[in-house]
This record gives sequence, structure tokens and C-alpha cells, in this order.
Amino acid sequence: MKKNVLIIEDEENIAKAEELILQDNFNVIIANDGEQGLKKAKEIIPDLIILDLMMPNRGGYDVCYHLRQDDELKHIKILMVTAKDQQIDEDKGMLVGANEYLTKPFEPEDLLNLALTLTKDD
Amino acid sequence: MINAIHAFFLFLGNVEGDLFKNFTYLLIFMLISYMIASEYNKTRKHEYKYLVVAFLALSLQAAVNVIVGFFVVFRGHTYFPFDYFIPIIGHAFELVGLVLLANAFLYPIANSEFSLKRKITQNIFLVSFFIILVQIFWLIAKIKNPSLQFNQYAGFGLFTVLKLFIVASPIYHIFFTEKKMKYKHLIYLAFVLYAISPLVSLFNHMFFQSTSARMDVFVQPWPFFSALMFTRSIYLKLVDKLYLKSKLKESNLKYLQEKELNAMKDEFVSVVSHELRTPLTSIKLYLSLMKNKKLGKTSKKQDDALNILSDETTRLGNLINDILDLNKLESNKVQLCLAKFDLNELKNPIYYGLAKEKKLVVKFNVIKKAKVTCDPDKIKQVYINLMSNAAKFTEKGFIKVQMIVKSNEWVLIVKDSGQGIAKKHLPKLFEKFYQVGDYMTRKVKGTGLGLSIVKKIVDLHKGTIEVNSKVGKGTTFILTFPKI
Repeated sequence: MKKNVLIIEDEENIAKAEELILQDNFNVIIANDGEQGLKKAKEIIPDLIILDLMMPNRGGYDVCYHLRQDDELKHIKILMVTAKDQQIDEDKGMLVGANEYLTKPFEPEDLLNLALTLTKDD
Repeated sequence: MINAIHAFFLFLGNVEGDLFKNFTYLLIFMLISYMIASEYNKTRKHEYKYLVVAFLALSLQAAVNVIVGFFVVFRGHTYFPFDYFIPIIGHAFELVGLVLLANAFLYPIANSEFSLKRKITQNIFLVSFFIILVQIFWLIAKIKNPSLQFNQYAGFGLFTVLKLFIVASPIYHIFFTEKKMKYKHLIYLAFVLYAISPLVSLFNHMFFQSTSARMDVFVQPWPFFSALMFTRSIYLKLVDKLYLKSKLKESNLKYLQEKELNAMKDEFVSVVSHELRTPLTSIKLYLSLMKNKKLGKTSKKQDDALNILSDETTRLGNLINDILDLNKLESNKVQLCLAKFDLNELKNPIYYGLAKEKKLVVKFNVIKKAKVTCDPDKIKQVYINLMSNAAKFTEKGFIKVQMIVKSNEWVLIVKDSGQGIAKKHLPKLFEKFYQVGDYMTRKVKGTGLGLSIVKKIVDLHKGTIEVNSKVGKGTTFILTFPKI
């Protein structure tokens, strides 16, 4: 059975491309901003969240922090995908609870490999 | 002219001249006290506090002398207490004023505020002891002999010695100090001028029982000149402070403006970075999906076109990364993430894709112990840039990579057999956007940022970079890093 991946990304083109990359291996659900992302995460409890950082309504750091505070959602793996490439941004991401950090632009294989690694059963 | 000066000196020696002199002192000292008190109100600096009290004491001495002089000149007589107490009170104010003045001017070169305070307290105690002692004995002597003048009494000599002793301290310390002191010569001169009067008076007292009229005239102008020097030094100190304050305000404003500009620039770069990378990500992802036939089959011609698009997108991505990297390096925001790194990792072909593509021979010298401490990602970036440059400018031949690890440094050498660089271009090679040859006619395209980034990263590691090149023979880059 395919695992569920929630993509929280305000750039529709990128969200769609990520969906195309992942759809062979995962059930993909898309949310277009942070607020909607949190709502969908509570509804479907995905196995992995691919989270953009710079988004309207609620930024990626904020969403990540809230996910980690929620007892029902805190186990979900989070992959941060962003154009912010400074070490401090990555450190911040890890501090609020991200499992991995991928900088844009990235290769499709990198995204797929990270998604597969993060959702691998222990 | 000389006659006029002589007449003026004589005038200062008269009771009228004495009144004029003391009235002038009173005005000058009050004015200085006011100036310094205003400054002390703003800054609360102890140096100014001592100066205010010192000049107030000197003002009081002048005021006492003015009152006495007023009665003598306009009433033609003195009152009973004048002769019994006034000479001692006048000298007492002067002595206390001098102690504070001497030490206040020594404030900038004092070892500590505590030692200065202790010295002031000790001096005041010593001076007070002698004042009380002289006052008691003077009363006894005056009662015994009502016609006795104070300047003929031994107490006068003692006060004069005390004045010389107090004034000698700043003269000695200012002369021998190695510390920096503003208006040192002016203050030194003021104290030296001040010392002339007591010195001559002492001489007059000891050898002529203070009866030499010539000496009495001679002592008159020096305290006046000294007061002018003190006024000038205080004035310069305060004016200088005002100037420095305005300069500081100006530079603070400039600093804030620059800070704001830098913050705006950072914000701009951050937004530009996001706005450029986001569409680039879309393009890259869709190209990759098309190339991998995820969006349907493509023809041979379409595949070729997709490959070109992919290459150009990679080039654009590299350009954006270079510009953003250089901006970060230039704004000194990059910190090295030091870790152990095996230089042999650089042999991995992923770091010299273009050389492989152009079928250039890439040779490595193999060393066993090649672990160094550095920022591995940054060193890889340096290496990729150097290898990419070498490959760009070498049509056929080789690229040799040598690594040397010594006891105190490690060296990375990249040598190619390419077209080489003319000597005139070498000094400007690491300047950003500098490229050899004319952009329009150049075969190899690029932004001219790669070597600037290399230089900045080498600098961050406190290393050096050296280039040797011969046109038609090739170029060698030698990077030397200290061992951390």
C-alpha cells in the first residue's frame, strides 16, 4: 500500500512537479499554504510532509513547530524544501523539528530518494 | 613700550593694581568655574568636578582679596579681623585650590582614580594642618606685635614652600609622563608660570624679609599669565570635546544609515534569491520529468532540445548561485564549518564533469595521509571552480591535481596544459567580473565570479593563492592553507 505524502507549497507549479515525481511511489495530497497544510495534516495524518518555508498565512517554520507540538502529528516525518540556502536557515529548520532539508533548485531524484528514505519502515 | 610695561608692573604692585588684578582673577576664575560646571552637569566626569572646586576655591581667594582691596583703596583703612585672619584665609583658599587644580590636571595620566583621590585627601590634610598651625601662631605673633606684616612672618615662607611643593607635582609628572595627554605643553607652561611667583616671593622673604620692592613688582604678572594659560587649556578641552561630540554624532548617523542600507541589501538579496530559485526549480523539475519521459514520449529532436534547455538551466542556476555566494562572502556573513576532510575525496569524478566530458586526462598524485581540517563544502567549491576553469580553457591535454600535506600547512595544486593567461591579466584575475579577453569574441563564456569566490574562500581559511601561467603552455594555481 502506498504511503501518504502531504506537499505544503504555495508555488502551484512546483507542487505539481513534486506530485509528478512522487506519484508513482506515494499518494500525494497538496496544500497551498501553511494554514491549509496544518488542517489537511490533521485530517489525513500523512507519513511524510514536504514543507516549503516562505509561504503566505503561515510560514514553514511555524507549521513545523505546530506539528511537533501536536501529540497526534508529532511523529510525522518532515522534509523542508526551500530556496533559503544559508546554514542558519537549515539549523533553524532542524531546531523546529524538520527531519531533512533540501535546497531549491534540486534534482528530482534527490526529492524522491529523500522521500523514500524518510518513509522507510524501521 | 618697555616703560609702559614697567609702569604696568608697578601698577600691579600698588594697592589699586592689586585690586584690579584680583578682580580680573575673580572674573576669569568664575567664568572657568561656570564653563566646567556646565560640562560636569552633562558628563559627571570626576576630572571636571575637581576642576570646578579648584577654580571656585581660587575664585574665593580672589574674592577675599577684592573685598580687602576694596576697603583699602576706597576707605583707606582695614578692619580689625583683616590683618588677623584674612591673609591666612586667602592663602588657605589658594592652597586648597592649587591641590585640586594640580591633581585635576593630572587626572588623564593618573594610574587610577583611587590613587588620585587618596593623593588629594592626603594633600588637603597636610595643607589644612599647616593652615591651622600658621593661623594659631600668626594670631599670637600679631597680638604681640600689631605692626607685623604677614609677608614678613615665617608662616608666609611656609605657605610659599607649600605652594611650590604642590605646583612641582604636576610639573614633574607632566614632564616625565609617557602617557598621552592633550594640551600637555600648555598645562605644563601654566604650572611653570604659576611657580615663578612663589619662588621669587620665597627668595624675597628669605633674603630680604619681603622688603625688595623690585621683586614684589616682578612677582605680580605671572599668576595672571598662568590663569590665562589655564583658561585657554580648559577652553580647548571643552571645545575639543564639542568637536568630538559632533563628529561622533555624525559617524553614528553614518553607521546607522549604513546598517539600514545593509539590512535592505540583505533583504533584497534574500527576496531575489527566493524569486530566482523558485522558477528555476520549476523549470528544472519539469525538464527532468520530460527527459525521463514522465510526461509522455519525446522525439530525438525534442530530446536534443531538452538537453540544451537542461544545460542552459544548469548554467543559469550556477550563475545565480555564484552571485549569491559572492554576496554572502563579501558581506562577511559566511562562517567556516570546520571538519576533518580527506583530500583524496577530490578524486571523485563528480567534481570535474567538464574535464571528463572534454576527454581531458585528469591525473592525481595519491597521498595516503591527506586528512586536513577545513570547511569541506567550501574547499569542494574552490576545487570545482578551479577544475571547471582548467577544463574550460584546455582544449586537449591534461589537468594535474597535486595535494601536499606538510607539518604546518597543506597545499592544493591544479595545473592544466591549456591556453594560459598573459602576464598583464594576472594581477586582476581575482577581481569579480574580470575576464580575460573581450566578452563578445571570447570562446569561453562565464561571469568572471568563480575565481573571486575562490579567493574569498581561501582568505576565509587564512590561506594564500598563487598563479603561474604561460601563454600556450598552461596555468598552475597553487593554494596554500595553514594547518588548523
